[in-house]
Amino acid sequence: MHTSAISVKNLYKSYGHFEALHDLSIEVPKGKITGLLGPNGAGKSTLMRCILGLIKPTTGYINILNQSLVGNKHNIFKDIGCIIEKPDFYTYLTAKKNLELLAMISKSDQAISNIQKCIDLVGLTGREKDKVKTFSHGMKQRLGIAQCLIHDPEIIILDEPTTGLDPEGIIEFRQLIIRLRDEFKKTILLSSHILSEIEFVADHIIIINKGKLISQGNIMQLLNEEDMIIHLEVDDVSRCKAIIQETFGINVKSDDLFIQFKLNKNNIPSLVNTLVQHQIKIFRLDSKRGLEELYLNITTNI
Amino acid sequence: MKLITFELYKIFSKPRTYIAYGSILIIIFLIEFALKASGEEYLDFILNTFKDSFVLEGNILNGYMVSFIILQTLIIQMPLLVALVTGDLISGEASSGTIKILLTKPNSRSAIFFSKWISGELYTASIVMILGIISLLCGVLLFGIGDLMVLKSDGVEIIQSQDLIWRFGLTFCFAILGLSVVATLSMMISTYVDNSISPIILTMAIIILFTIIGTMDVPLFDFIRPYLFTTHMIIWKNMFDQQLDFLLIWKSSIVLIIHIIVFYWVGWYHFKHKDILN
Repeated sequence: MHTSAISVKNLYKSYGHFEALHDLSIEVPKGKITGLLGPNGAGKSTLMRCILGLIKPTTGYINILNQSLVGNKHNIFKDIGCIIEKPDFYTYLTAKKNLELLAMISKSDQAISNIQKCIDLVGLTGREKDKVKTFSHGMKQRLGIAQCLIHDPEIIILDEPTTGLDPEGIIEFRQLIIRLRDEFKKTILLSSHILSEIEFVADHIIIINKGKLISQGNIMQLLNEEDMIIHLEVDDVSRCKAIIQETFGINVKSDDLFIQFKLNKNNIPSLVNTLVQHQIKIFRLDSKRGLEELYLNITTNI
Repeated sequence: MKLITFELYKIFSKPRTYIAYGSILIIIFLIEFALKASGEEYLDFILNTFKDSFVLEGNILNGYMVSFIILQTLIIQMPLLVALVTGDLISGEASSGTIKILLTKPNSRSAIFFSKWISGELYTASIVMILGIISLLCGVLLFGIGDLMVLKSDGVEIIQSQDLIWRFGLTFCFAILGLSVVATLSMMISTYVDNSISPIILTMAIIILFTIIGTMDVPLFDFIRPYLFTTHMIIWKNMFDQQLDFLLIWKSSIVLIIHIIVFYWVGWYHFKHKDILN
């Protein structure tokens, strides 16, 4: 059982008649990477902005590091680093000057002395004296992470941080996030519309849709509760399909070469036995737990 | 103090800040050069109506006169130069997205707003002082000193040279106060929009509108005129009256200060409560 770094209770946010968040309660465990998932317009950014004090909730409570956000912003923000949507900087200044200025107002004694260390950590050594306007999106993203870290915060909040990054940039970013958790013991709240990305890094997930909480918990527990996605390549697709449907009573999709269906993981040995007994030749059997499948199931079945 | 340093550093790192300083210096040098080259013809033209009534002797086109002419010319452009920077203080951060970083640092929105306002005021004061000091200094160096002849609609007033430095000082202070209203107004507008052009355009539109209302001799406007800040911004010219009307100067100063307080409060209240959505 982890203690929560961020605890949100009964959060509501309305814009006129539109309810962006509805009775939302979430917990972000300390020292873990929490993935925040939801389709476009689900309320992810609104939730993150409420946590960061950029948007005032209509009602509800936000506790960060055991302090209420109301009345304790100064203390709390000393322990938070964030990137909201995209890393924004004063592009007419150099990377280092940006960090120096932000360190100056972060009310942290070690922020100034941490600057070079953070530049090195994110791999911008040698480019720190260049103006930010000459940086690529990926470099700005790294600078964004450096900006998050200069005051050594306990919590890092990243809203859609990989938007616009190339595949190489996404992989580097993912490695950096994992390193921040493992080496620096940071609590990370990460939202992304790329499900596989969350699946790779997150220990805990929160799924929201239409401003409401759909599901939250440890990622492995959530995925274990669901069926596996089975892909089969066999010699006789139509006979195999009929056998599976008859034996397990499930819906099976197929084309000329492959069969795909959902099956509880405990039934996989029985599936193999049945097909062998019916002398079906199995060329390939893949089973995977898909966050995408879970996510689609949860968000479409509400 | 750190927030003010932070804001000042940003202001003085932007090219647009130096557009204002550059344009002031260019205009000062152009006017002084033009007056040096053909100042006598210019004087003949403006003194045409008095030629037959007075005998004018001495160094009429002196440094004080030149500085006075520059002040009259540039005071019209100053609000634009002020709004160029102060209108960008909040909306510029909103359009570039840096407002999100700024507001997620451990500083209150009130402190951020105040530091931006103070920085805007310091910038405003700096451009007035540069205008004043450079025009006076260059004027005196190029044209020497002498009494100042001020043309009024009903005649001419001569202010003795030993009486002029403090009058110029008072004029610069009053110009700073008047332009502070412009700075606070554009900053207030800046809290409502997410681009840096709108506050500049809106501020100038308001000044032009108020100036039209203030100068049109329509009885309907007589009631509004005393409450418009533009009416009081031009009171600096009264510093060159033979007898200073201190009551008028105090009244105008109070009206301008009230405008600053109201614009500041509206801007601060909106900034403190606004949701950052972009």
